[in-house]
Amino acid sequence: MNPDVFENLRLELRRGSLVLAVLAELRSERYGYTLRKSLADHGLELDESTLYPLLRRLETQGLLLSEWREEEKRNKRFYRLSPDGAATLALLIEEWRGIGRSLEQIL
Amino acid sequence: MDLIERYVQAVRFWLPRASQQDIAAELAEDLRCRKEDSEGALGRPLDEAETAALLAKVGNPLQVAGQYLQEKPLMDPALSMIYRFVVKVVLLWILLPLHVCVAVPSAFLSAHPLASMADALGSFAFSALFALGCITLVFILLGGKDSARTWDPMKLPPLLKQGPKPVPRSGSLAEVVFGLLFAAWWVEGFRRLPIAWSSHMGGVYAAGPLWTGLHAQLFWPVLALTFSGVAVGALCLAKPHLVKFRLIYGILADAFSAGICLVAIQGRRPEIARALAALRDLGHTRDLSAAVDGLVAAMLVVIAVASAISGLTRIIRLALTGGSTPGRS
Repeated sequence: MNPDVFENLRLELRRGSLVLAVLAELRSERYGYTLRKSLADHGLELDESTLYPLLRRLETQGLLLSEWREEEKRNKRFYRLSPDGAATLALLIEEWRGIGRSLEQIL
Repeated sequence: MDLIERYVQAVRFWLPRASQQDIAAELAEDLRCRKEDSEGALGRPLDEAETAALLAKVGNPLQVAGQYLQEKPLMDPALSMIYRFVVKVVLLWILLPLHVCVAVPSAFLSAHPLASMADALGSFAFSALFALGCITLVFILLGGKDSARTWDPMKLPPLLKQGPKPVPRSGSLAEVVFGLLFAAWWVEGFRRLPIAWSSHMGGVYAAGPLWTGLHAQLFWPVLALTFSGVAVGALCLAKPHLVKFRLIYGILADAFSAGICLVAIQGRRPEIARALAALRDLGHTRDLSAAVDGLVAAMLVVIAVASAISGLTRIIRLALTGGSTPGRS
């Protein structure tokens, strides 16, 4: 088996689910580092150069809201789900469960 | 913290201007949290080598900045960042100003300004395409190398001073005063020489053919350049923080100055060659007009070269600092 092919397929499989995980974690407000830690605690390790561009993209798509706020005397950028993001997340969860059910039958 | 700041500075350099500050501040905060967590786990501060190891895990600054590109690049993100930078510098900051500043004085001085502008446009399009082709070819050849992934955080460049220094008021004042004095001389006094020199050389001076011709040819462009310098000097005297504006004006003025000198040299090659030959006999001649023409010819070449060098230096400064302002941290 070609390890590069496997790696590419693994990344593709992971990419879509990362969006779902990030949106779900941002049902409560977090800043980047705590979000990354929380995802890692659930077994989803994400590096900075993947997470922050993803957050920017989701914000540009109107799914997230963000604001700079001072916490512990340091400026941090806090993210949370927008109303559009919440509606999209609900649809995505439904889709994900449907895919999961189908895959369970196939696998 | 110094190494983290140097790392963020290196990432920041490659980021799109509009989101530079935001992304850099967020990345810096994440790295600080990450470092503090590691320190908490170890129960002591991280040393420089450990901080470098942490940054090495985050990735090459170019690769990290490349992840923020909106569109999917055709080549490796790190290489793509350098490619964009080189294309931007060559096309927009070197070729375009150079062509504009040669074309404008040419059109000014030509009998057929429209034809002259069309020539310049064609020449720019050809040079831009040629440069783009060469740069792309070089980057395609470089594409196979994987040097972007092998990097050492300890070799990150030192921190630049936060925010540019204001334009010195003494420099702006000198620009205004000397600009006005030069303008007065250019309009009225160009036919006169310092008295001591005149009497040493025989006391009789009439402007030579080269000097007279050049003065007539370049009268308005030089006057416009001088007054624009006076105006910019006066503005920077009142607002010394217009550093980027002053730098961009400097590039345009240098290019314009080099452009008009080149146009004058191009159009008066035989006269200039004769004047320079006469200058070699300055020790034997008592012909003041020929001596002044020789000096003017030499000055023309010196000014063209000096302006080109000065302009390129300013372009590099602008590319490196971008007239940056202090970042959020």
